[in-house]
Amino acid sequence: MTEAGPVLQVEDLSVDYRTGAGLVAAIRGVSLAIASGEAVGLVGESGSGKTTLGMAIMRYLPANGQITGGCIRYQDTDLVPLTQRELSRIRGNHIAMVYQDPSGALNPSLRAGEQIAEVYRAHLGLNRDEARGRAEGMLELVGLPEPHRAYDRYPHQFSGGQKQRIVISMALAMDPNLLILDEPTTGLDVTVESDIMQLFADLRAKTSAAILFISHDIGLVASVCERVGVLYRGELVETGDTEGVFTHPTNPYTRGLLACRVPPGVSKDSRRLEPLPSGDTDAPVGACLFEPRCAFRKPRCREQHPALYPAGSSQHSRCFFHEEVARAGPPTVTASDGRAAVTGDGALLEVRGLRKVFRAQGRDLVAVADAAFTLGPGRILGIVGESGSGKTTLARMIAGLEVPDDGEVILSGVDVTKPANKRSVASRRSLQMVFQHPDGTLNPSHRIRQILRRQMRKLDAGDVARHDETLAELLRAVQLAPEHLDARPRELSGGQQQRVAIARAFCTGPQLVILDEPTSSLDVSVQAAILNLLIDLQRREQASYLLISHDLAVVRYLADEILVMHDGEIVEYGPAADVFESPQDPYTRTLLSAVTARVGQAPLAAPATQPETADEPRMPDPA
Amino acid sequence: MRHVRALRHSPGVAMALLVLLVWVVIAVFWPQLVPYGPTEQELTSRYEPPSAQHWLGTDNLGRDIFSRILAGSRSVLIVSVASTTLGVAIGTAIGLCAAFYRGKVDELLMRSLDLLMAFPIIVIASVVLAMLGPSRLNLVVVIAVMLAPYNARVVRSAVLSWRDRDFVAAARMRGESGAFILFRELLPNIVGTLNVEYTLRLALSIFAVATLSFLGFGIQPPTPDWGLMVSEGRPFYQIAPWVVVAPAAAIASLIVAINVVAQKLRS
Repeated sequence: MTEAGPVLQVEDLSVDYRTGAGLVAAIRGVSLAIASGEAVGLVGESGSGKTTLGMAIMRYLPANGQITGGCIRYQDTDLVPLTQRELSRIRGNHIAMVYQDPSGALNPSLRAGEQIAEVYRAHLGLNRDEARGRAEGMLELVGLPEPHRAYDRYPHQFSGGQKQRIVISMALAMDPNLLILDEPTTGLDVTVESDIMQLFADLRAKTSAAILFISHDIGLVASVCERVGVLYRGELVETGDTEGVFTHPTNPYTRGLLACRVPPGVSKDSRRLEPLPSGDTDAPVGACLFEPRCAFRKPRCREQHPALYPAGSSQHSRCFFHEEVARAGPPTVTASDGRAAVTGDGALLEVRGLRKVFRAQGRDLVAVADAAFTLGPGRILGIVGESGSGKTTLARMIAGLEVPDDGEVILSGVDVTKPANKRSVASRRSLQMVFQHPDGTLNPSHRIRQILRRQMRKLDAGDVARHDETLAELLRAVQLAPEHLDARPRELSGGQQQRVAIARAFCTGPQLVILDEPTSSLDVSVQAAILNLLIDLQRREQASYLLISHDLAVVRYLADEILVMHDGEIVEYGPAADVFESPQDPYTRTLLSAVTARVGQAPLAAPATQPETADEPRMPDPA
Repeated sequence: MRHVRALRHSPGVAMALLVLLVWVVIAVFWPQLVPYGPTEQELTSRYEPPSAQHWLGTDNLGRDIFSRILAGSRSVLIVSVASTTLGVAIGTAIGLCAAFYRGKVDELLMRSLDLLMAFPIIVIASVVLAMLGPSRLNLVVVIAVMLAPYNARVVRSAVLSWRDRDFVAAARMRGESGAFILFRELLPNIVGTLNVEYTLRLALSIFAVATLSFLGFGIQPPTPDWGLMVSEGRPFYQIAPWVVVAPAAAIASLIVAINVVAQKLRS
């Protein structure tokens, strides 16, 4: 251990949740240490336990969660045996946390500034004016314009990004020694996200706090942290220097995670994504937890549970065969089979002067203003824009879920500018939609078979006698098993639910499918599989897609043409390559630069002197 | 089987269910169970306290209170179950429509219900029954109409949380009718809410039946009825308290048992 020990040292921590099905292990023997001024990242997919770990360190576990072993040492104090009263002193003064949802962290009935000033009054005993001064200083530090006026506003008067800045300023108010950031930018628009990430980079130069950065986004973690830990089902499977872990992974899971990401700036025609096998089956007791999904698995992996072995120059990997994984090198690029969709002539979808105005509190809000574009058969059009840009309203008007105030929608030469139930069966059959939230897209009280059969019956899709056959074929196409037909939606994982939703859209042989953020609530490993599926189906069925997404890498990957929306207007429209390589509109440029800033791999601003850390004993360089 | 085992852990609920079961059995089989005819008068033995002969004593006309209570269970259960079923059906239909169509339909329906709810349930029921004349059918209809608004509100808010889910949008894109979406897509998802609603409204309905009978707008004498028995015994409760206590206890046992079950359903 170095002279100044780590600020936070977690040793062999285990956390269980009591559920209806008994005890479930959420954290399994995790050890990590963070020194002052150091930022450590924690990446993992949903259910990996990364948020539980953050909550456990704060001792904010929900009532059914309990620490079953290990210790959490802050400086020299073990937090595990402390009472809530003792903890609250440490939490306020020394450890602070920023949560994913900023609106939940702010009291809507108190002025924003007072919520920060309260921290000073409670912990330092400052009077009103002094506390106000300090609070305004904090608001300025996190980059809120006009801190004096911002102090007196209520949380609802701020945008999502500004609210997150306020939450960050509250966390920083007492100059904590340890800052836990739990998905601090998830749910924010890309441009806002890049601003917040820049803020963290600036703050790191001003404070020496140790930072634990929890995120599902490898790119974000790479841009902030010097060291990183990869969590899989509550277990650290790889740790080490960020650069090493993300460029030379020594664990099959890390490698798989990196491989299944949509690479920025790459199109579907040049490269196929490499999904991780689905994680729907459990590993046998005593085996390696990742074994069922592992590309490197051997018989030994089913019999023995691997420890964390030193691997590479700075890394540790929980894999018997980490040398083999390291030798395999970075994930290889699989070339696409090069089969482009056959695109026909003419327009499948034509949108002319489409307009929608919403009236809210006596004011008119133009959601979509005079949108016009055409989409050819077999083409994929990507619609990008931030929340509130009108992209979803545009799609809903085309789908017949919203009636436009003006303009027309022409599908295969037929005017379909009317609600869906007034359209002909043929029109309804040829236009389908895949929605954003897998859990809301299927009726929880219906079985999968019921959902798919109703779709086919209602839309007269082919011969009724052949429906069962079609269904079986479709299920194979979306990689679901026949027994899934008898399941109810809640028995399926998010990825499986989205596969059912895709099957529902395709069971009528549609010509145009609207994809509204089809993968945004799915884990990366699942996302790759769904995107591959969508590409395969599109080629097989010769369908056109209207793809709405805030994820520019996904849009770049899938789309042939791009339409950029901003405040209800189409600001840019053209072939994907042109829009991404030489954007004409200033807004498009802002949007694109926000993303490119994010994929930069080097830490944005590391502190000048990096203290020696004492996480795990470092291996001498193998060279 | 799972439910039976769950009951062992909550003896209160098991007890409540037993009470309800006993009342239902009595309501069906009372003619075989009563020791005396419920309207049989024996003027020589009036106001007799509970004894081996008359378990719950006799009333001002010498009728056996135990027999009258058993016989009275049928009308209470029939009227309250019928009115609750009707009321919840009306309320659910209104709530579904209001939540699904929103806008003007919602405003019109909900404001009309507010108007109805502005009057105390018993006052308006007694006025209407006084005009229509007391009969079992009128009682059922009036109580149903009085219960429906409360039910409609709860159903409406339950449906509101479902109507913007994507599966409803998918149904609309499929071209489903409003009725299909309401009854096949949305209704199955609020069954849990409806179960709680039904039990709570049933308790309220029993209370309303008893109150209206007590006031003379419900079941008419000499038919045995709990509310009516309390009312008839009221002038004599100082000399013969059992005349009032027995039917009141019967009403209470039903209402408490139903509320216990409702509480359990809610959690």
